[in-house]
Amino acid sequence: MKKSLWIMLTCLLMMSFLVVGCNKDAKTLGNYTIATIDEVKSADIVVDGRANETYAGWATQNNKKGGHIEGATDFSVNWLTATYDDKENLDGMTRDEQLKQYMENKGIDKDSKVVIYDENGKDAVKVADYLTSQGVKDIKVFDLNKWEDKLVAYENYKLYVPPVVVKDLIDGKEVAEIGKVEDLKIVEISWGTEEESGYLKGHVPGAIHVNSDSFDDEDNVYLLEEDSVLFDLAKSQGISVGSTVVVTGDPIFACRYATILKYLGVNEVYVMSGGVSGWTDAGFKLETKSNKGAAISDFGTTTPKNPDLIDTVAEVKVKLSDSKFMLVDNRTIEEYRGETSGYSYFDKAGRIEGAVFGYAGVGNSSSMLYYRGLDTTMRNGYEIEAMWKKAGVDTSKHLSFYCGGGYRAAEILWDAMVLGYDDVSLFADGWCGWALAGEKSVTGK
Amino acid sequence: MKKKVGYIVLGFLSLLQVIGGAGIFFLDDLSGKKVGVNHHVIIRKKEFISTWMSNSQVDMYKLVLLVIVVLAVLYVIYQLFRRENWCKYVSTFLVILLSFLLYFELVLEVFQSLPVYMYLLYITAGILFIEIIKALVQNLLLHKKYDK
Repeated sequence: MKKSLWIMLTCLLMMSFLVVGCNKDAKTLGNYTIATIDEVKSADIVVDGRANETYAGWATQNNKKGGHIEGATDFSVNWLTATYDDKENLDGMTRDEQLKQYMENKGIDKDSKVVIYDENGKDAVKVADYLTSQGVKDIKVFDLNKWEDKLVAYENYKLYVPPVVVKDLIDGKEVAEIGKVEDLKIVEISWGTEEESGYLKGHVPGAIHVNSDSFDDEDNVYLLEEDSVLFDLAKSQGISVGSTVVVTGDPIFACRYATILKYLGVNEVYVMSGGVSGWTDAGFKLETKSNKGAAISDFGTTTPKNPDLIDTVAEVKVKLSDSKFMLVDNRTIEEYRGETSGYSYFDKAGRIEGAVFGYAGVGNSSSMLYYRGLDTTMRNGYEIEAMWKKAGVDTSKHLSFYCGGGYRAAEILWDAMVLGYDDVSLFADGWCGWALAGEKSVTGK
Repeated sequence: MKKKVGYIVLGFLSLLQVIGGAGIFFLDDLSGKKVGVNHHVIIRKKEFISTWMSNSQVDMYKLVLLVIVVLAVLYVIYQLFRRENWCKYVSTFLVILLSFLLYFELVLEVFQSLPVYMYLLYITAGILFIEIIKALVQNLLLHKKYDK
């Protein structure tokens, strides 16, 4: 009996060695085991390690498969290397602090079973190396080229155009998502003259500079100018309803002007993602010469074609009583509570009664921490939607976004449109316009 | 001891003037670089002009400056007649110059067009006020030092 027991134990031991030997045949990439499709489907967290725009939907020369595996989150390899100043940034956070925050947002902790995928066999390893350095132990990698199921994308992902696609457009190449371009206009939006804004130090080739003060009313605490001024501004740059416009610059500036152009009636308006640093990070050179648009006299319409895209104080006042209307306050929590106006030159603090706090940033009226990655690309759309849900933003209603003066809210409006929300608008005058008009407001939690 | 205190006070007041002067240059430079600073100074300037710069108010400021200049000139002439050491009335002389500068800031377009106009007026008025105090200190506390 004892002898047969020994024989059985020996056989069992040999079989287990065999099994281990078989596992040694499993392929690895870097220090990581390559996951099977079944392992991807059963993983706790599936992470897309490619650029955010690719996750959003763009197929580019770098990544041929636009979109992402359903249920996957993103952790862009660009976050590890994108231009970012640890000391001088709007959020007051270092890159390391930002990355740790992203891990938390995505529910990645030391005990998570994570599968990271890419297309080039490099991005996933870099992201995996970072997560390993943060103590995540169970990481596998996956080649997205082996994925046969359909990928999903944001409904209007094309509204944010990656720099590599902007380069194609400038070079005259046809981009499937955008179609044939007859009249391409690249504009760069920032505050100040060409000298003051830094435009002459470097901008996307061919871009025309637009000073944000040219569409903000200096005599009215920089609220949005009248339609006639907006039309004249567009015409001075040679922009008409038939133009294809790519707006570059910091996203809050770019999205504000892009929203204005859409409001006026330009159908094809896109915002380059990542700002100017996104362009240089992609390996493209900046141009330093001044470009001027050839002014035109006919815009194509004399009244805004999409008037519902921008709300005025009077319109918001009426709509607030509509149960299908929701005002979303996109400022810091201190501005929302009325502890500060957010602007040193504007004294009145508070919020519009009935507005739901929809986040923006922290510490100052330019931070967009809750809506951006550190490479200034749009935050994961599902995280934005989850944040809205938690905050009480009812997406079944018409959403009108506002902030202090319509910049931060414009970026969030653009994000919402990227995600496919079409019943949305920008309350451009925001809190400053509301308070200046002497309308009712509240403070506190 | 009295002189020592006088020198310390003069040194401190001069430092304040330098900081104020440098501050206005710094603010002017920053207002050409940062949108928030630019909008702040422009909006504050507009509020200031509409509140404190009506024609009658500007006339009153000019009158005050005229009084200061007249008094300062009389004092300088008096000291010249007494053949006092120039150190004794150098501050008074600077008071006259600063009063003229403030006058030009009030009336000339070139100053009014500056985004930092309000702060320029504040700082110049502050420097003038300090210079008046310095003139008093020089004449009251350090009187013996310059006596022949």
